[in-house]
Order: sequence, then C-alpha cells, then structure tokens
Amino acid sequence: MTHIVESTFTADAHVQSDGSRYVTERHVDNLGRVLTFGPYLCADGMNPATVMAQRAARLDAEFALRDAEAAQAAQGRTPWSKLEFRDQLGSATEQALDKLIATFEANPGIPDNTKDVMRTGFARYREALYIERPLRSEVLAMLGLLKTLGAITQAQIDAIVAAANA
Amino acid sequence: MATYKVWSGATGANNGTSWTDAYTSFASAVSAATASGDIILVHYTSQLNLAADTTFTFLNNVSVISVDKDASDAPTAMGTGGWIGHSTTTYGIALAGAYRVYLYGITLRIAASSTRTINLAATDGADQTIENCYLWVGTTASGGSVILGTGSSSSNGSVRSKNSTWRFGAASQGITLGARLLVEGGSISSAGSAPSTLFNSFYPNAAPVWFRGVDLSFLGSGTLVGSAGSGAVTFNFDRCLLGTSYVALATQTPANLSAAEVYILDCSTGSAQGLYGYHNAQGSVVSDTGIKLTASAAGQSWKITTTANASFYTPFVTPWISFYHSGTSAITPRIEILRDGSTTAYNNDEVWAEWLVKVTASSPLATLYSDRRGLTSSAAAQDTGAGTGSWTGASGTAWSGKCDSGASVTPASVGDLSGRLCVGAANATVYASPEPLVA
Repeated sequence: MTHIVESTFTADAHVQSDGSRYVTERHVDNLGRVLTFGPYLCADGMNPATVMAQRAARLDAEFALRDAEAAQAAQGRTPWSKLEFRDQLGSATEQALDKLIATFEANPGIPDNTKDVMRTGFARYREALYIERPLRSEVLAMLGLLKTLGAITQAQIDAIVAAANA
Repeated sequence: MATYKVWSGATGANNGTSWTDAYTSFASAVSAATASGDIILVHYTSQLNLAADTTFTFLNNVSVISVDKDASDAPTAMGTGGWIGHSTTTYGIALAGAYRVYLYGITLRIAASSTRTINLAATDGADQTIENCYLWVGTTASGGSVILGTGSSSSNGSVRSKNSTWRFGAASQGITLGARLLVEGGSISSAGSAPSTLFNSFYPNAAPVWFRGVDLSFLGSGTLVGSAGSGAVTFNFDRCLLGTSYVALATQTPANLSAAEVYILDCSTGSAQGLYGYHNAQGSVVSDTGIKLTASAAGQSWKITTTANASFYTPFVTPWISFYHSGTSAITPRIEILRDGSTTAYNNDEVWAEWLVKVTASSPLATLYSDRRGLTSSAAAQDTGAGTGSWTGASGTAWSGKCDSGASVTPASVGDLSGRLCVGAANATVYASPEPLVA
C-alpha cells in the first residue's frame, strides 16, 4: 500500500514583513516518488512541522483511497474511459449514436415509453465516469438499439464485446 | 419568449403559467422552455427533490431565476433553504444542452454518502453562467465532486460563476475541470469540508482558468492545483483571499512546461497587499518582503526557486515585468539580483535576463535581447550589482549582481519595455528586484 515514508521541510532563515516564513515540504512515498509542496508562507505562530504532518496524513488517506479503487478495478478489468468506449464504436457508429441522442426526443416514430427508457439510458451514460468491463447489460442494450437503427452490425458488436472481455 | 414558474408547494394545474398552477418539478419547466429567451422562475423556498440521477437538458438559450413569489418575484437566492436535488439521498445532477444558460440564485444539492457529482456544461457546446448560486456537494463520498464539462478532453464548454458558493462534503472532493472556467466573487463554503486539492483533475480544454475576488480561505493549507490533471492549463488567481499556508501547485507530471502553471496576483492569506507568485514544474517566483533592494519602491523582491527540472537549455523563466520608459537614448536595462548564503557569483549560464524592446521606428515589432552566455561559449560571472549593502534582510554572506541586456539598446519610441529573468541552475534560489532599472 502506498504511503509516505519520509517528510522533511526547509524554512527560510529570514521572515517576511508580517512574521511569516517561506517553507518547502518534501514528502517521499514508499516507491521513492518525491512530492514537493511550496514554497508556501507559514504564518507567524504556526508550526511548519504540524502542517507537514497533517499533509502527510492527508496524502496517506488519498493514497489509500486510490489503492482501493485500483484493487477494485484489477479484480475485473480496468474500465474504459468514455472516450475509449467511443473509440470502439468507430466514427460512423459514434456519429449515429450522437445523432440519436440529439434527435430521439423529437422523433414521432418512437413511442413515449421507449423514449422514457432511452432518455434515462442516455442520462446514465452521461453520468457514468467510465464504462465497466465486461460491459453492463444496459450498454449492450444501447448497442442493440443502434443495431436496430442500422448504425452498427452484429459483427461490430461482437468485436466490442470481445474487446471488453479481453 | 415565455415565462414558466416552478414551485414545489403549488397545488394547481402544474402547467407553469402562474404560481398557483406552477410546475412542481424543475424538469417540466426545462422541457417546456423551448424558445430562445424563455425564463424559468423558481420560488426560492422550493425543495425540488429528485427521484433519480437527473440530467436537465436545456432546449434553448434559457434563464433560470430564483425569486420570492410573495415579494413581486424579487430575485432571491435559494441558499440552503431550497434546492434542486435532494437533502437525504444521493442523486447526481447535470445541466446539459448546447446553449447559453443563465442561472441566478439556484441551489444544486446532492447529499448522503454515495458517489455522485454536480455536472455543469455537460454537453459539448454548453455555455452556462451561474450567479449567486449554491453548488452543494453534500455527499460525503470521496468521489463526489463538481464536474465542469463533459469529461472529454475534446469538447467545448464554458462555465462562468459570479458570487456563487461552492460547498464540498469531503476533503478528497474537488473540481474536475473540462471546460473554460471564470469565477468572479463567491467562496468555498466553510459549512462543508475543505478540499485538500481544489482542482484535482483537469483537461487541456480548460485553459485558461481565472479566479477573481474569490474567498478561498477555507481551503487552509490545501493545494490549489493538483498533479492529476493533463494539459498545459494556466490557472490565475487574482485578488483572492487564500488559505493559511496554502500551496499553489503540486508537483507536476510531466515535470516540464507541458504541465499546469499557476499565477498568484495580489492574493494573500491575510492583510498583505501586492503579493505575487508564479509556479510551474521548473520553479517558482514568490514575493519576498524579508529580503529586498532597499531603494526599490517595490518593497519586496522576487524569490526565485528552481526545481531539479531547470537547466541552461530549459531554464525556469519568470513572467515579464513591463515598465514605462520615457526616453529614446541608448540604455542598458538591468535587474538587480542577490545570492544569499554564498559569495560566489552566478554565471551567465545560471542566471540571465531577457528584454523586449521596440528599436525600429514606426514599427510595433519588439526585439529580444539577452545577456545569456553563447550556446558554445564559456560561462562568465554576471556583473557585480549595487552591492550587498544595498539589500535589506540578507544574511551576512551574500553576493550582489545584475543581469542586463548584454549590450545597450536604443528604444525607438517612448513606451513599455519588458524584462524577465531566466534561471538555468537547478535547485537554486535567486532574489531579484522586480523593478528593472535603466540608470
């Protein structure tokens, strides 16, 4: 687990006109990576050692969170970013998807209950931070919808699913 | 151009035509506002609770204004008493639509403990202005945040925030930036949690970012710009109140000028005025009032500190200092510098100056001058400056020098000249007087 193993700071010998002092912190994690913070002004009366210790604790907490997220992703497969998912579609299908999103509400040929499902589905796509792998059923459903509109072939869908499962 | 009314307490026809018949959901009003110039009025005490993650897609250039229906529709902010969102359940909120949308006094609120976000400008081409609004990321989930833009590095988006409040639910939260951002006035609410890093993720399409007159003091010793972003984004903080012991810029990856940079313009954590700062992956400039050229009206020096990434060929370069010069005779402009803690002179491959001077009559074209050593020449010590006795605050061991234009220059007209310093020495500290001299 990533964590800070060394924290040091250097402070200017001289003070500023308000009594504060420039301080630079140097934190090193267990992988040898160096994180520098500053120069920042440490107010008169504040202990830079305390500030440094608090920052090291915050960094450890952030590292723990990041490690937990990475562990979760590694148990499945690293999720695709939405951009990576769009790259899988190919430009023609990508454009068809964007056109569908932009026009389905005004399409009189789509029943209202279908529009309800599509609206929420597209909203969930927009809300999503990434595309899980293997693909969720709702993503497969969206690909199926594009297929019914002639924007994608089954062969393309099979290739995308295979890439997601790889 | 129509006006639609929204009030969570309405019990009438739910068609938005009056306060009695106001819509009880914000989504209904957004769907109805299809013409450019349409206005949505929201009664400020409305608690418009969502039932799911919701994207409000505006269908045209629309304004949304929070008003007091009981005071002749006077603009009145929702504050913390009203909202669009939820107070006990986590539902994400996105404002979308490739249009110009203005919101006044609206509170967007997410709550509880699940990861959800408030997403503004959630469509490619969205241009959204929020004034006196309250962005309330009340969820305590570490992944909660305010997202500006679509999350794609290739889309267009703009968010302008005037006198609005940004509130976070956990120290790990912050702003994910994928749109142009201008913030004027407002604050980070002390009623929430202070982000340890304000901008924890950003994309190249965010450049540049401006914060003017914003109270960021609640961030305390947090970091303004983190290291997890991508792109050479410039962040500007102008006349803001900053946190005690704040850090401007985290260690950047990559460790070069293709990463973020931060300008601090007349900002401080207390009452100090006129403090300046500039930070990038190769070094920083900060105002130092403890060591300064005594006779300078600046009342401070620029403390230049380079990282290990600075070199002769890729030096740390300070911003330009522009000054007015009223003569057209030959001059040798210079910047006085000080090396504290050592009597060894800096060489002209360690510290040098660059100047932009218009020397051609009737032409706006400026010429660049420098006293940098030649690329294949040997280094030489920079000239002695005004003397260590001309500096206040230095230790007893110091070297005073100057960096000039290399040769005299003759301005062709009265006007601005510009000078800056380049520091090619890694892990070095140079004090410079930010008031160039010509006499």
